[in-house]
Amino acid sequence: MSRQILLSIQNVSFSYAKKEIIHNICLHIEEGEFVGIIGPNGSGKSTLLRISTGFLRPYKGDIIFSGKDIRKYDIKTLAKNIATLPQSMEVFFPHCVEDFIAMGRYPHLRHSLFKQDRDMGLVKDVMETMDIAYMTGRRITDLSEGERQRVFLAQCIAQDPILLLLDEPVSHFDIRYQIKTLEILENLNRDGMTIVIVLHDLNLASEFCTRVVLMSEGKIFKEGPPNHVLTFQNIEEIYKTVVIVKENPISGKPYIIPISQKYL
Amino acid sequence: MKERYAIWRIRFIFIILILLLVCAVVLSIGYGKGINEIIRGLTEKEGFGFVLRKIRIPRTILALLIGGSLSICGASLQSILRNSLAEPYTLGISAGASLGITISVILGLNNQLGVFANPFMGFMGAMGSTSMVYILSRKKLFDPGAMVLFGIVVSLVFSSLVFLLFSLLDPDRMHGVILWLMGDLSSLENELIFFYIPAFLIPAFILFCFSRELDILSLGHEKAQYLGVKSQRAYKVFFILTSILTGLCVSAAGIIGFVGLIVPHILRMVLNTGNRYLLYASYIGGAAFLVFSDVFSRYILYPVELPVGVVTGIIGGVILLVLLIERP
Repeated sequence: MSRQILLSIQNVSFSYAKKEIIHNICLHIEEGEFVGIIGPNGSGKSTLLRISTGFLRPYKGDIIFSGKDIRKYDIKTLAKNIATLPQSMEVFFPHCVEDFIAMGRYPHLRHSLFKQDRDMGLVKDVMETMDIAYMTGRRITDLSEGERQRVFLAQCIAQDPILLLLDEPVSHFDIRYQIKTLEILENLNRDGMTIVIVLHDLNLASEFCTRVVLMSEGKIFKEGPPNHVLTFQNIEEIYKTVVIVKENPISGKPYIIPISQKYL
Repeated sequence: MKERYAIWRIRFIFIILILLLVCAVVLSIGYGKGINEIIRGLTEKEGFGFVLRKIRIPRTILALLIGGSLSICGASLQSILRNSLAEPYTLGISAGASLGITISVILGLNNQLGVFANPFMGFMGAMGSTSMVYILSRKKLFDPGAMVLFGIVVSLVFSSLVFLLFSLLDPDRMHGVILWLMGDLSSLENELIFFYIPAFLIPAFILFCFSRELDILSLGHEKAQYLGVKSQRAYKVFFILTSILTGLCVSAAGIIGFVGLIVPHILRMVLNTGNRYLLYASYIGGAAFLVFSDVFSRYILYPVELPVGVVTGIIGGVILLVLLIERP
């Protein structure tokens, strides 16, 4: 059974300030996948994600979304289908949480000068799913960093996309919310949402992603199911760190234990 | 329960703003006289009725329009630049407008082209300075901090050009221009008010319609694009609208600073909602603030009338300082 390719990155190269950051990358994301992008700092993970959204324009290669070049899309149509959470979001103004999440509905709403409907029912549902209903009425500027990040994610989910692109969404969370958030994403994925997520934590990538893409210096080093990619040879080569890779006794997925220099 | 509380909170704030506005208008129109006398005065042909119709009412209407316009300009510029220091004055839009109008006054365009020359030149000047800020910021990828800095630089340059022109002017004509530049609501030509009412209200109405885009732009231009707002095009639309409004304000009453900064700043703190309510509230609040300042400027040193720009500058500056220091 072959699934349809949703997003296809074809021979893409990108440079910024005369420095090539992405070298000739090919990557195909199929419908219903949960893809994790991993790699050391500066390996081009975020750039690749921002190219996939159409925000950054590569000087070579094409991005095809649902069979059509991403540059040919109207920006609002694109926003109906792809939701993206950038790595850093700053909030400047004290919106209340539900208004903030409601902004995610923007591309779906009729553009009318007189009537501004806001789908507050859907916003409420998203808040329930994300377990942030208790924040109703609070100002976003008063929230902790972790809480804020969950609100940002809720805004993306309220956008009701086919494809969800996330750049390190769980780095600000304690383990409870890391697991909880990834479980929520897993459920959304099961209901048909395709998810591409940049992660720093190799164990989280291993546990939740159906496929991982290991990047290094602007290229894809390896890609495939977690147990193929997350071997100690690959990790030691890319991260220059000694690790032991074991099998998680419950899930059967690989898990990675870094070993400090002092024991070697 | 919480949602109902939020709605009532917003309603309460609006009721207070409207009450403030009504008080301001009554004070401004009938200073020293009660509402009964104002109503009786309106029916009189001579005396107090004449003063009302020809001087006080047009002046109050103008103050309402300018105060409201300046504060929605400030509110929307703050949202798109994500900086609470943005307003027409700090971004150089006012300075551009004043350069345009100074040129118009010096060349006597008023006499040659009619009463619309000043507002038009004000708009052109405002567009000139805004375009400069826009082009400079494009190189910095519309970084909000850089944009405000460019705004301040452009503002200083344009103000210097205005003073350069003043120094070439003969001293007799200078006095009037300087008074106008300091913010002066008294020199309104009465026939212009019928032009000003629609001219001020139409761009303001368009701004109100774009409140949702403003909310989204306040998340930064990258996120705005992910949500389906073309940020560059939106920037242009908002810059043109604010330039029109600022050009009108400056041509009608000179440079009035701080209104666009302080009114949205306070309202944003108490409202904590999106821009839809903020823009309406800013319009009402800004109008009330300017009318109060005008009343103050007329009567604090009676019979000497202070330029209203000086009053807003002092009151606004003090309030802003207190807020900045008090904030945790």
